[in-house]
Amino acid sequence: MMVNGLLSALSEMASWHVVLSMFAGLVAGYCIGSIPGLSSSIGIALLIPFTFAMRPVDSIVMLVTLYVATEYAGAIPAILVNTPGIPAAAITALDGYPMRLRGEAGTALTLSILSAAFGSILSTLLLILTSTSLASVALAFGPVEYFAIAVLGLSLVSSLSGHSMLKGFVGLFFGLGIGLIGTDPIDGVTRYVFADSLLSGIGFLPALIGLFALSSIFSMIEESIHPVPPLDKLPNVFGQFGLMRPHFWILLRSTLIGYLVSVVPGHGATISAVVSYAFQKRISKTSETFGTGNPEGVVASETGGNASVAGALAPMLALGIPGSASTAVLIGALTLHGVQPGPLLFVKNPEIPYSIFIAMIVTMPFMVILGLGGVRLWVLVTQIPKTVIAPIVTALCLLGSYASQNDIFAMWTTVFFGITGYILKKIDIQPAPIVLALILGYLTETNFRRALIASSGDPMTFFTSPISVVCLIVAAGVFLLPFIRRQKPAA
Amino acid sequence: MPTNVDEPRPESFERERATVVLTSRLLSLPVPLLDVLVGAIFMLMALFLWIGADYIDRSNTGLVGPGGFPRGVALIFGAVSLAMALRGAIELRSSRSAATVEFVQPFAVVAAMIMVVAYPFLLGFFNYYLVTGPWLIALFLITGFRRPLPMLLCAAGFLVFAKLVFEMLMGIPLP
Repeated sequence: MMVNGLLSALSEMASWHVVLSMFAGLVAGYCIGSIPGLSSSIGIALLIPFTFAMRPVDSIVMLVTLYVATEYAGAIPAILVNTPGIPAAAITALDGYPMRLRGEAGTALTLSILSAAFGSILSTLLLILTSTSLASVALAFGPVEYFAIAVLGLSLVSSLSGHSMLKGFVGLFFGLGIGLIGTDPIDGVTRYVFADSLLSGIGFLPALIGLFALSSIFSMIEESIHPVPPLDKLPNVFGQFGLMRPHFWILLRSTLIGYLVSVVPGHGATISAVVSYAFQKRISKTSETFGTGNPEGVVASETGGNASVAGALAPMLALGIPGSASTAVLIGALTLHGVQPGPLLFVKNPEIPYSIFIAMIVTMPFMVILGLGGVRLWVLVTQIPKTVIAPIVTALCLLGSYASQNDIFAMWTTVFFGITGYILKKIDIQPAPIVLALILGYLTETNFRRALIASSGDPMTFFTSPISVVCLIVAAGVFLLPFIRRQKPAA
Repeated sequence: MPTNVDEPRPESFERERATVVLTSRLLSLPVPLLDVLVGAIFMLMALFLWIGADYIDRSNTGLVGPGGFPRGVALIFGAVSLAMALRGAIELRSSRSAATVEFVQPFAVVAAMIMVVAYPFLLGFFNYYLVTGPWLIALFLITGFRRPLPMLLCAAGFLVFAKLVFEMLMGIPLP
C-alpha cells in the first residue's frame, strides 16, 4: 500500500503547480506567522478560498506547507520583539528574547529555524510510520467503532476548552446544535431550515472564517492602541549549522516528546512546546539559566512545537479526527475538495496523505533557506501596524467567505460566527470546541444511527466491539479526568 | 481575557471591579453577568432545538429517527447552559469579587461590527467595487489608521487583487 501510495503521490506532484503551491504556502505561512494575532488556523481558513480552483493535491500541499511555516515563523517576532506570532512561540520567547537583548539575535534565530526543521523532518518520518499502520487497522472499522472514535474526539473538548470545562461543553453543544441545521444525513428530512441557503447546512468554511479569523480581527482592533515594538537593528543570520552540534540529543528528545504529546488529539503545538521545554529544563545541567537566554530552551521549545505539526496530522489522516484546531480547519479544506479524511483516505485517495508526507520533507530545505535568507523581510512584516492588517484581513475574510459559495448568505454566516465567536471568547468559550463539534457532529450522528439500525435499535451494540469499548472508556476517562484533578487538592 | 478571581485585591477595588464600567477607552463587565446572559440565550436555543425536533420527527421513531439526535443535543445543551447561567447568577449574588471582561476601545469594536454587518447588506444593492473601496477606507479610519495616501493605496490594491485573483484567475463572479 505504501509503495503504491508513494508512486501515486509522486506522479501527482511532478508538476510545476505543486512547486508553486508549496512556495505560496511557505511565503504565506511566514507572513502569517510573523504577524502577532494571526495563527496557523486563521491562515489556513483565509487561504482555503484561494484553493477552490486547484486540484486537491495542490491545495493540500499549499495548506500543509503554510501550517508548517506558520508554526516556525511565530518564533521570529517572539525572539525579536518578545511578541509571539503564535501562542506556542511564547515558550521560545522565554529564552529567545533574552538572547536577543544580549546581542545574540542571529544565533537565536538560527537555532530556532534549524531546530524547527529537524523536529519537522524527524516527526514526519514518525507520522508516515504511525498513520499508515493506524489506518490499516482502522480499515476494519464499522459504524459502531466510528461512533466510538467520534465520541472520543468530542471528549477531547476538555483539552481544547479554555480554563472552564463547563464552558468547553457549552461551546461543544452549541456547535453540535448548529451542525443539526440542514438535511438529515440518513432520512433526507430537512431540520431547522429557515432559509433556502441552509438546505445543505451551515457553510463550514464561512463558519470557520468567522470563528477563527473575523473574531480575531475584533480582538486585533482592541490591541491596535498598542504600537508594534520598534526594532532598531536588523540581525545578521548566517545559518551556522555548527551551532546545532551540542544540541543533538535535545533535538532527538524534544522531537519525540513533541510528536507523542500532539498525537493525542487536542494537544497542539503549545502543549508540545511547554512539555519539551519543561522536560529539558528538568534534566539540563544549566537549568538555573532557563528563562535568561539559554539556547537549550530555544532548541527544546522550537523542536517540540514543530514536531507537533506531524503529530496532529496523524489522527486526522488515519482516523478523521482533528489533532489540533489547525487540523480541524484542514479537514474542512479536504471535505470541500470532496476528500474525506480517515482510514479510507489511504485506499481511495492515497495521493493525498503521501503528498502531505513528501511535501513536509521536501519543503524543509526551502523553509530553512527562506527563513535564514529572508529574515530581514519577515522582520519588516512584524512591523506592519495592526491598524493596517485588521481592515485588509476583514475584507479578505468576507471575500473568501463569499467565494466559498458564490452567495452573499455565506457572508452573513461569517459575520454571525465572527461576532458570536468574539463575544464567546471574551467569556472563555473558545472556538476550537465549536469547530470540533461542527466536524464530528455529522460523523457521530450518522454512525450512531447506522449502528442502531443495524442492531434493530439495541444500544448494547456499542459495547460489542473491543475497539468501541476501549474508545468509550478512554472518552469517559478524558471527560472525567479534569474533574478528578480538581477534586484532588480539595481532598 | 477574564482576570484572575483568586488574586487578592483591596476591598474598594473589588467593589469597583464588580460593576459595569464604560469609558471611551474601556468597557468592563463582570464575567458572571455575561455568563447569565449567554447561558439564557443558549437555553432559548436549546428549547428551540427541542421543540423543533417534534416537528422533524412526527412519527416519533426514537433514537433511530431524524429527531432523536437533535433531542439529545438539545437536552444536554440546555442542561450545560442552565448550569453556566446558574453558576453566574450565584457568583453575582455572592459578596466575593467577580472576574471582569474588558473590552478595550469598545466604540471602535462596535463600529467595526456595524461595518461588517452593513457590508453584505450593501452588496445586495450595489456593485462589489463600489461598496468595498469606501467601506475599506471607513474601516481604516475606525481602526485608527490616519495616513490618507497609504490608506487609498491599500484600498485600491485590495480591489485590484480581488479583480485579478478572484474574478480573472479563479473565475468567481463578484457581486
